[in-house]
Amino acid sequence: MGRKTREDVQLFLEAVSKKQGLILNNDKDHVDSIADGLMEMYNSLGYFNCPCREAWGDRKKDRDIICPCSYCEMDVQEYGQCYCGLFVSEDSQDKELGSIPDRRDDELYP
Amino acid sequence: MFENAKFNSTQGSRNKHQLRFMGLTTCSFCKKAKQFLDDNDFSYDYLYLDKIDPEDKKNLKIEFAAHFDKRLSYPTLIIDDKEILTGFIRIAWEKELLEEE
Repeated sequence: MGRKTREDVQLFLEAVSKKQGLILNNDKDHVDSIADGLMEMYNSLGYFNCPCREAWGDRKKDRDIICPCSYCEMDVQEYGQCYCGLFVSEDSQDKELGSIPDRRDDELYP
Repeated sequence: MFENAKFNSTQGSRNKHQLRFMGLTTCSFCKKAKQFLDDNDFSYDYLYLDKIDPEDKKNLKIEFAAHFDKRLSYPTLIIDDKEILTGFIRIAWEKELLEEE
């Protein structure tokens, strides 16, 4: 397992948003802080676990919260942002974002 | 509550209530929430759950769930061991923490 740098994470985010048609938040500080969290997740677990959620550290159990998580698209549609506020809808681009309810079932958490 | 947890403390001029902040170091809304407390000069205790012993974390989560009847998510702010703010939504935090003054 190689380590990821911040540049690697940035490239990952750009590739993912392009491939999946997701829009990255305009708020650079917010995105930078999530990118730091993603890098830390990758370098400790070996995958990009959602940095806003607790991980089991087992890729199978965490698979639905590997970024972009399984709830991302629905959350962007319903709330205009993903759980972390990393990906947003066009309408939410310039709003100050806050936490949204977690769509993931409680029982899936450690 | 949480007698065995090792919270860090920050001192500020607003100290009417006991505030306990719980977050993850990797979570951006946790950073914003903690910044809110700092910007408004609150005294509070804080704990990053991804930086503590796994056994302590487990016990703390069990205690939290038993007390508040919900899973601990991040960020969470506990006010006087009675109320909680879950997630960071600026207007909700302003309403709860600043409006009564």
